[in-house]
Amino acid sequence: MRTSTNKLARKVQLMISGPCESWLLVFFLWKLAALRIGKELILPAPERVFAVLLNLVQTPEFWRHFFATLRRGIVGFLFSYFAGVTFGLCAGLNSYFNQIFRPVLVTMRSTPSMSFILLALIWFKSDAVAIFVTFFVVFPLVTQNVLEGINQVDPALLEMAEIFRVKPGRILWKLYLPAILPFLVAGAAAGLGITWKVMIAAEVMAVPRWGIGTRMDTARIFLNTSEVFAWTAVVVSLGYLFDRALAYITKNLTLPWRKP
Amino acid sequence: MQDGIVQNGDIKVDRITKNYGPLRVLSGITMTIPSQKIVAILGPSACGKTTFLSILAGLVQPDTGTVTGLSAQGVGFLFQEPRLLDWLTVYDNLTFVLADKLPKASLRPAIEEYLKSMDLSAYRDYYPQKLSGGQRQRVAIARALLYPSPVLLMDEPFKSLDLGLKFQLIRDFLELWAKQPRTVICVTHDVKEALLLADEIYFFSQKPTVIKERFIIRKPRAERSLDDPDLLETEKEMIKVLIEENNRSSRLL
Repeated sequence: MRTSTNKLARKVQLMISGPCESWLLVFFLWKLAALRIGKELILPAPERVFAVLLNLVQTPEFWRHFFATLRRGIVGFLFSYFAGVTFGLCAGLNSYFNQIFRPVLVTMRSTPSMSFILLALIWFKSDAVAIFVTFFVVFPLVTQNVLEGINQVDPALLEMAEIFRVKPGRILWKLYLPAILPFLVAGAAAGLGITWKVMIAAEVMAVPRWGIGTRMDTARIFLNTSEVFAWTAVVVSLGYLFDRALAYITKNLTLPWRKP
Repeated sequence: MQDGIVQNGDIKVDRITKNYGPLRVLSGITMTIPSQKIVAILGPSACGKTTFLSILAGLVQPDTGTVTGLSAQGVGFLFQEPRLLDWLTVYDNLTFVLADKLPKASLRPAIEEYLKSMDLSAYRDYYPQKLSGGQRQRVAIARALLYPSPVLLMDEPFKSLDLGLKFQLIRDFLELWAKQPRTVICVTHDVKEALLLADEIYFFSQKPTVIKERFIIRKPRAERSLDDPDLLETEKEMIKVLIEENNRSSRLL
């Protein structure tokens, strides 16, 4: 009993000690810098930001802004992800499609996010701008991952399937998809990571009625630096939460053939 | 054992040539492979044995010449490596290939029977990574023999195995093959392996490849052993041909 408690304590210690120490260091340096500058308008102290955040979360508006961004983020990401996987598969499995599609993909990847934001501002209502921009940034990223995954599929296995005349549908589901699974997960992680950054940038520019970006822009206009920091903390937490959730799902979606 | 295999008769290979750019690989290969016999093809490294097998499998088209008598059902194939999907169990690896090739009702019993014959029943739910190299190749043998085609092509299937395991697997393979004989074309570089397996052995020359020699092994397979004086005599002749061919190629180099 005692041993198992010790083990659990050690596990918890391992889980929190790393992040705890690094957070303490960040807060310490932040506090030092705030003291040195001495102007809340430029750099508020961490405890001030925490107090503002505490006030914010107690208002119903906070949650409306929060959930509006969350909803847009999830919709934008899922739409981009599934479109990216579908197009990636089509391009990876069909060289003609790949030839046609590749220049479009390269163009999308090299176009600055700000160009998409500005165009979307002209074309769409402010609510749809963030989703549109997220799509154009996340979609090529996911597609590229899927394409890389397909290129890494063992040609010997494909030759085996061809010789044994395995049906294309079965090859897709039983050979390609499991083979590119690590690339699908990597694509999801990279896509999620960038979704929140792009989403906030688009919201700041488009200023939809509800959204964290809108609130950040309002705080900027009123020179409320503490609130900008507080909202930033919210977005960072959101990204971190999704990153952990994905890591948890990936870990529990244990690939049985890789179990020791 | 298995339903649905339609025997097709002899396979006739007629004046096959194949070039890769300016390099002539096969230069007018002609042979008749009798139905339900095992034919081994030997020759120096890189003489085009695998290209020849790829042509029979329909993966590569010859530049000239024809192959007739191959089944519309395709061919079974035993590769040098097992080529199993790591993420499927032994049983699922077999159904991956066989699910739509065998009648639904006989699929499971046929797989179970072959797994039993190959001493793999206990491993049906194992992933390939958990099996030894020999066990993985046994799964590949079961897959190749379960595939409902009258023709089986083999590309050095026992090459990567140690000596003891190799001859054990050859015995197991022949036992299963004898239950339902089919035409086998086996590319190998191992003279002993060819002597134990084949009814006929063809020697390919260096590139541009032609058939250099043909040996017919009349001794019944069941009576063959590695220390059989007749086979040892044939082995000597075969090694002589191989050395001659290798010397010729080093002179050419």
